[in-house]
Amino acid sequence: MRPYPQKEWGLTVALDFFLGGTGAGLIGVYVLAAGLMFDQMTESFYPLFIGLALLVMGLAILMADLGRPTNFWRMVKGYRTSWMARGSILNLALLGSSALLILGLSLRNASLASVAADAALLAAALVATYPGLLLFSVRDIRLWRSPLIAILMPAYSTSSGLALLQLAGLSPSHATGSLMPELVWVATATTAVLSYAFFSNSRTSSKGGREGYRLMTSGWLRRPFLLGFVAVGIVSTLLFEAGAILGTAMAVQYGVMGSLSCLAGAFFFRYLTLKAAFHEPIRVFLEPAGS
Amino acid sequence: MKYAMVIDLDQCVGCETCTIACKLDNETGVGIKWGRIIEAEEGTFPDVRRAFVPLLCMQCEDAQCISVCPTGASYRNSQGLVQIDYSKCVGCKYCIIACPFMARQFNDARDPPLGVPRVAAGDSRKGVVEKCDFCSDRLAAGREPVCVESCPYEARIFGDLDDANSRVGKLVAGAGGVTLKPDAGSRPSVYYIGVR
Repeated sequence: MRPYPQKEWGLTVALDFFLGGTGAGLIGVYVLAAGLMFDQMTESFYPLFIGLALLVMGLAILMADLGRPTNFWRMVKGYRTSWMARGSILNLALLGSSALLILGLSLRNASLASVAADAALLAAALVATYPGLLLFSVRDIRLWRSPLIAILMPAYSTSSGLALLQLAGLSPSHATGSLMPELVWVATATTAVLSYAFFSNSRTSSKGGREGYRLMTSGWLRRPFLLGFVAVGIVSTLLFEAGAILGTAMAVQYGVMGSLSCLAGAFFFRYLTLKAAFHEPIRVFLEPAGS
Repeated sequence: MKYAMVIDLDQCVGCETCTIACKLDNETGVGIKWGRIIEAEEGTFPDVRRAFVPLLCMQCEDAQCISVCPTGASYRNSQGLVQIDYSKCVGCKYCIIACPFMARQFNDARDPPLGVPRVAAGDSRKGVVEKCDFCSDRLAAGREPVCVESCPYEARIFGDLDDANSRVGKLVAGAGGVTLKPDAGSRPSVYYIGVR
């Protein structure tokens, strides 16, 4: 029997991972960049609203995708063993801590904002990481059994968080100066190298891994892989951000295009990781025929 | 007690009687099969081997479907069988992906074809994940799973693996019963003999 694809998770789960990861990345990057410089944060903290909106959208898509969305609250019970249950708790923790941070900043309550910022930063890091651990826990899909997946998910969240911050033009300038294009460029280059290692390793890992790789290079996933992920997500991002770094007359436009390309790449990575996942074949005959 | 099933691939002819008996007894909906038969073929002419391989929930000792379930809907009952509490399932499908044996299916609540009556039991499983439960209701009544009872070739043998004198215990030990996907590390309770 040939390796067979997992068909249960596709576009909606990829969107959930993308929106949740980008929201967590934006909140995490913003809190990190702004640090605890309270005065600077209170000047423009509405990136936190964007991050919150993305998280809520991700959760809404997940709930809509569930057969029984009203039972979402039951998903926290299996936290001892299930990464999906842990992810639900972490998402709620990030929503709560970010809301508290916004409240603290709105009230100009420095101690509340400081505590909430620490909590939001920790929750954002965990929300960005958990999808990788969730996929890693599936033992029969070798593509996901790479430790790189647990690094790539937060790496993509960071790069898309930076891209969104640049796109919104809301980088806390005191902390990052004019380095935003450089940061997006470095984050994109890093995720590109890690993604290459991740996908190329799958080619040699198992029959299922080879089938997934074949699907991306010569099957129906070829177009999203080559055009969406490689051409737009990596090459365009690096070129546009390089243009923004060089400070040409179109630097702002290049920055915007680079950000959008980076976000597209972060989405396509999640989509490809889900759709190129194959179960290992069920083998009945343990010895070759004729032996 | 450890319930186990032995499937003799030399006896199975792929007639699907077990599949139909399972559907009728468990009142599964349109497109839902708790048990299925796949055809395995290997080699090139004239060295070709072919077998019909019945697949069902393997009742794994280390059941990954239980550990990934976020709600506790997948659990092991007092008989040691992996079960689903349909009222707790949220339909996230994590268990379907975690299962190495294609044993679980999502009931997407499709209506039955025109003229086919809607079954009561199937309705309670709409929007949740379903799977074989070794006919736990029949076991409680002292009967064997319906696929075992219905097989005209006696290709399926059911019993207590902990009982060394049981037919199942003797077949697994004597005929060299093998499990599918041993690399998955889930330690299934369904064994196959006649694998040559």
